[in-house]
Amino acid sequence: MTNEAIIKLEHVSKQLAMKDGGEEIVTTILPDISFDILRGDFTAITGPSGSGKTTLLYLMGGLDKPTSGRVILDDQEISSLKEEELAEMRNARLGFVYQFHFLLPEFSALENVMMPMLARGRSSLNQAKERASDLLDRLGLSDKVRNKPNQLSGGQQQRVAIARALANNPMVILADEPTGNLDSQSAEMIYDLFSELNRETRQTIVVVTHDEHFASKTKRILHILDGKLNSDRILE
Amino acid sequence: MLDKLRFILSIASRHLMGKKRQTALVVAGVAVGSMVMILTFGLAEGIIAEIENKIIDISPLITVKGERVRARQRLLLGSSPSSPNHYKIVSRIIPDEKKEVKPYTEVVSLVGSLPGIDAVSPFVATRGVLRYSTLSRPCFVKGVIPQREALIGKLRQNAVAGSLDELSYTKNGILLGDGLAKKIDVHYHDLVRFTGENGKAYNLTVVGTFASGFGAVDDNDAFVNLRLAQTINGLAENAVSAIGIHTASPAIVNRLASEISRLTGYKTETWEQANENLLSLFRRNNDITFFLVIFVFVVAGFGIANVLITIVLQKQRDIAVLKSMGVGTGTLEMTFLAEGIILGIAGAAIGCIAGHYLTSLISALPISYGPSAVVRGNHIVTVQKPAYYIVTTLFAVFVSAISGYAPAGRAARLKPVDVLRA
Repeated sequence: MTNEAIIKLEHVSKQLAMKDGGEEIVTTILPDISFDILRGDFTAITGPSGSGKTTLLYLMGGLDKPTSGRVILDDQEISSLKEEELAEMRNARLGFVYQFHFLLPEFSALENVMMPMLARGRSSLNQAKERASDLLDRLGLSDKVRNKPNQLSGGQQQRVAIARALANNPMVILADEPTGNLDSQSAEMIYDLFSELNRETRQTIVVVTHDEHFASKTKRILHILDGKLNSDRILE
Repeated sequence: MLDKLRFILSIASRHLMGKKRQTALVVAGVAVGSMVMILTFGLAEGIIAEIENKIIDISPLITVKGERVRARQRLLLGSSPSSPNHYKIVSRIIPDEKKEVKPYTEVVSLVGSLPGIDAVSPFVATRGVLRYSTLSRPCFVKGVIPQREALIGKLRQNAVAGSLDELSYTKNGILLGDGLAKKIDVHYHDLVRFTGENGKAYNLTVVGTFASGFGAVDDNDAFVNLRLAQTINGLAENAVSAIGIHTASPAIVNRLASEISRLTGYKTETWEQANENLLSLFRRNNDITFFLVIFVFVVAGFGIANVLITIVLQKQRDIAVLKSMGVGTGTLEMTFLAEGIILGIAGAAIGCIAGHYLTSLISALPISYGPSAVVRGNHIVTVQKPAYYIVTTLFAVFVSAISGYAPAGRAARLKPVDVLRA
């Protein structure tokens, strides 16, 4: 691991305004949080439900904007980017894995993995097909390329989702409870897959998880409590 | 660019294929709209074409009327088309002057020598009452030179009994519209009594009947020899009430009408001007029908919008995931617009094919509207032109794109975090 920060959060706060009748209620999710994610890091963000873990992940991924503070990805402040610039940035530099696989049900495993490569014309159809096949092969799904998501097991679906996240060779993979919906055996397989990816390709991975066992397999654990960084443990 | 288009179309088509039943229903809706539009084009243009053809068949394309547009002039004897502008002013316009073309032979000679003129037929129009036995009926009578009148329209071909030629050698003959003949129950070679506007009665022999297919003509019109009509109207031998002209092509009618009016000093009227009321009535009727057809498309458009809004609502999560992986707002908008356009194109394609066959089927059916119809015939005349299919397809695609616009905007505005957090 190098000491170069690939993601920086500087005094980031996030408030949500909701209407209750005619009255606007403002809820503070993240009061003020700062930390760095280093290149090649494998970080778990843990904390109880409602502590702001997922909000942090969405802020890092440019899916949400902070109320104040700065989010910097690879030396570029993304919190001020426009919608299309954010879309381009997400496509080129980030890969997302969610608790539920969120694969497009009408498309095969292969097509789902090709999707990010074709979304912004980053690859030709043949290039995308070739890379998607390679990724599925690497994740042990070479015999499932033509299967639709509903023809795959939970673990297989999540592996396809990981292959999709890796499609554009992103700088960072952001995963939100990726094992939250899996049985223990499948979850173990996903832990090992993330560990292997980080170990072999030095892929930067940030995982939001409740699962202490999974967190213990990462290199660093950021524990969030009430929207604040409660602890920052390096496991190696 | 091609890959992006392929990407958009692949998502759009999969969305639609994922909702086969609704997609089929919406495509059927657009198809019905397209089919009705093709049929309406075919029927509306068909009736206009039929009326125009029948008018051209029975009427002169240009009529030189016995009304002057400028001071009376006399054509120089021996004037020729090469020097048609040599006139001699002999008097001013007299408002209550008898409506006649005089001397008509000079006008016929001048007009007949113009390029593009096929036939010239002087005539005298008069009215009177036709009586046979105890039955009588008012009618319009046109005094003609049969050989010349035969070249103006299809009077000779329209003969049902007897012939136009028989009129030419029967001094007191009369050729009746078949509807008129039936109303007073006369037949070929019967003797009828005609009382003219001058109050004098004439015994005439029925030399034949004709059927033009135009109800108003067949029920009311009759032809006699020119000289007889001149006598009935009290016109001199060198005077007629008007001159009918047939041109080589209907396209040159307007130009020739102006030219003839300028050369002769008489007012001219084209077949379209003479039948303006009838034609405008049908054209207005067609316009109303088209507006109604457009509403069929509007209903189909609501169907498209409904399906696309349902897809957007059901696919919110997929849209959020696509956005999170970097699919742009524009691409998503294009995707849902493409879904609308695919529905429109599919519906228009089916509708155009169905419209073609339905129009052909309707024109092949033996349908008659009876003797009281304005235009008589044994089937409905329809017209089919490539332009109708192009306009229908463009309109269907336009309505579909408009219908897809709101759902596309909704999909594009969706914030992924709102959906993924839920």
